[in-house]
Amino acid sequence: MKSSFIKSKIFAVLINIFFWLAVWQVIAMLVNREVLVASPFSVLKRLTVLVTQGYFWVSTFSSLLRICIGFIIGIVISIVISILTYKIKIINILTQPLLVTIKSTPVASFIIIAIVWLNKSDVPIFTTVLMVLPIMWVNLYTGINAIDKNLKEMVYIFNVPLFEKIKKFYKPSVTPYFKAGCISSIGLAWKAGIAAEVLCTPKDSIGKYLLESKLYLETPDLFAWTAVVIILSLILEKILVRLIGGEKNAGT
Amino acid sequence: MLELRKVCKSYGENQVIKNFSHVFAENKTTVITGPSGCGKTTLLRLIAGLEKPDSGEIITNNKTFSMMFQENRLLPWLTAKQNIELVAEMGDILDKLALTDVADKYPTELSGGMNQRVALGRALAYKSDILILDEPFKALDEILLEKMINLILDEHGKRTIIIITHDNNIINRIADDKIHI
Repeated sequence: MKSSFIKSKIFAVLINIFFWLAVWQVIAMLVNREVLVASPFSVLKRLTVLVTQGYFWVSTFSSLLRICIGFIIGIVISIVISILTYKIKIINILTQPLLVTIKSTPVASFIIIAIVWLNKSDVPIFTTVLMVLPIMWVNLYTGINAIDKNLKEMVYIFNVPLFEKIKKFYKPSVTPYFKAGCISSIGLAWKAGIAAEVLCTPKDSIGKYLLESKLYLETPDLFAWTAVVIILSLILEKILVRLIGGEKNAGT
Repeated sequence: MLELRKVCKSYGENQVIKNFSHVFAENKTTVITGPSGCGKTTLLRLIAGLEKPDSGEIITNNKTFSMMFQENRLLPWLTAKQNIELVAEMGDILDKLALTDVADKYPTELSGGMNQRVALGRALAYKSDILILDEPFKALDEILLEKMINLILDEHGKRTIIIITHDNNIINRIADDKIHI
């Protein structure tokens, strides 16, 4: 019983949490300046206050909503582009510079350009789309290209109806690539979205409160909001993995 | 009627099919024999429209095809039953192939012989005008072989069947026509 608990996943999570909280506490004690490194206790104390405030929830959900919208738009565009680039070679050739540009342009440049072009609240959405797009595009394109040619011939010979073909053949074939792309891009999208909020400070956003806590040197606030970002990022990733699922025996 | 007129097919320098002509009689069973690498499978692929000939004509008159490939080509994320249901109504085909007990198992959970039978079941269940079977009898024990031959004999006269096999006993039992290439 005792040894199975030690081997369990819960134990691994708990031991990690306690170990790194201890490391954090030691660093905070060594630095001994709350303005530089807030202690875990003061962050927790601040968090417990924050969660009782209405603006905390409004800001958290607004940020979450913006990033989710950006993530979904990014995925939809990636699906369309990856299919088009797979089907039409000239589109694939012509869109390569676009892909390279999106991949190599610094996030800050996108955010600053977007601040000029768009409303404050749309900037995080736009930034998230640009973060998700190249990852999902490449993953989906690779996935579509990796579809087994023998199985393609099989569905062709048996004249499988289009809807069934998409649902039972294309979707399961591409799902592992889609899932990997989603997992890789969600964290990045979340971080870039919050960074965009910090720079453009839309009303009701985590980014705005992160910036404010930095401006007023409220380090426990800064750490508490950062903790919220990390926790939400982890929850989002878990939810996403659950939602996408993945087909039994896929890729075998 | 299915007819091939002076069909040629090459892969690079290697000419696999050279001036091949044949009329496949409707609702008859034709067996194709020949040594390994002589182009039997290529011929089936040309007939099914999976390959285009370099020259010559293949007249199919919009016939539909059902095919059992050399490899099983089953979708690994679907069960045996679902693999058949993807292309046709199930009927009693699983029962006839002694696969009822493994209907809900995935291809990775089945033996090679079982997957081979599922692939045959799928080809038989799909109601096509022409049934193409590429070496359907390899690696089967005697009881299963007999079952599969009987299933193919059940289709005799109902649709055009084209089979690649090397076994003379089987050829004598099922063939109306033979092609050696």
